[in-house]
Amino acid sequence: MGSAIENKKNIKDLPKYKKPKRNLPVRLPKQSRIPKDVLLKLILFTILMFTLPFIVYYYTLDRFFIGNTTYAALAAAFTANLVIAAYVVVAIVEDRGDDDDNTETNNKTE
Amino acid sequence: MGFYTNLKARSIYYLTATFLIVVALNLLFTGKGEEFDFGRFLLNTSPFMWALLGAASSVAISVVGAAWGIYICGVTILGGAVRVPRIKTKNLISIIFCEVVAIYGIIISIIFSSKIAPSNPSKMYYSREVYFTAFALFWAGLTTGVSDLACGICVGISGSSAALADAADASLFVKVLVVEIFGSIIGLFGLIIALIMQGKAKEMK
Repeated sequence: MGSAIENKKNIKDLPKYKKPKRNLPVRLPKQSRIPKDVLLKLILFTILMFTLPFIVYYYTLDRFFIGNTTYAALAAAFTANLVIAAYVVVAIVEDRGDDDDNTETNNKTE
Repeated sequence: MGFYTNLKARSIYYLTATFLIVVALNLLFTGKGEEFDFGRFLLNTSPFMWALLGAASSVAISVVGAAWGIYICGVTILGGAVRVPRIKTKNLISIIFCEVVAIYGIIISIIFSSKIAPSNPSKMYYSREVYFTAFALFWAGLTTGVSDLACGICVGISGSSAALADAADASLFVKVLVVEIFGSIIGLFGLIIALIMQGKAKEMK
């Protein structure tokens, strides 16, 4: 009890707060920048995913399936899955391409 | 054995049970027992409520499932990409799997919205076809919604672990993707059954 009152700190005695200087980079360093074509592909596939199933639904509803909504909806779900499959294939091919480049540069440095 | 232990939950449980028993006994003892009529409830509620509830729940509950999956998956991918930045682009496949579940819900809602029209009966009652359409749309919407909810959560959780596996060993991702494909197929089941159920439902005239 005694020591707490004697050693009471005054807030004016604390060192003044200085804002830490930060070196925020204006742009990402070159290694961690996502390449533009990857971003474009992602945006393209997202837009396809939103629009293609509904376009297919309304297109096939009257022309192919004579107003039968079941088959038109099945076609729309099928195209949604096609977009997914296409994205998976593109992503895996892209990754395989990156791996080949990395192994080539590794071989060169060795 | 699954019995709640805290006081608040127990009191709520017992209070509602007592209230329901009191209401039921009141109806029974005052000779109004016939008022508790489920058939009258079904006939007196508007068929539009059932149909619109179905259309609403199919998209709403599917989107809950997709959002749940995406947030679980996205948190893991973003966290893992701090240490292993190469997982950023490839693991978006899991996110797209989660999102397609929401697309199923929207497709079903669009189909239903074309079948719902405010019918103006010149008679005093709605016809049987209108009631069938309403009930079919309600249960088909609920089928899609709940199965897509489960599918979205499933794909999200397995996608999050797939991201961690990919961060540890790059060759594992393609094998873990099979798990996500199976998880995504169960969402398709809900869609197919919903389509079959509403196949016979004619547009409300």
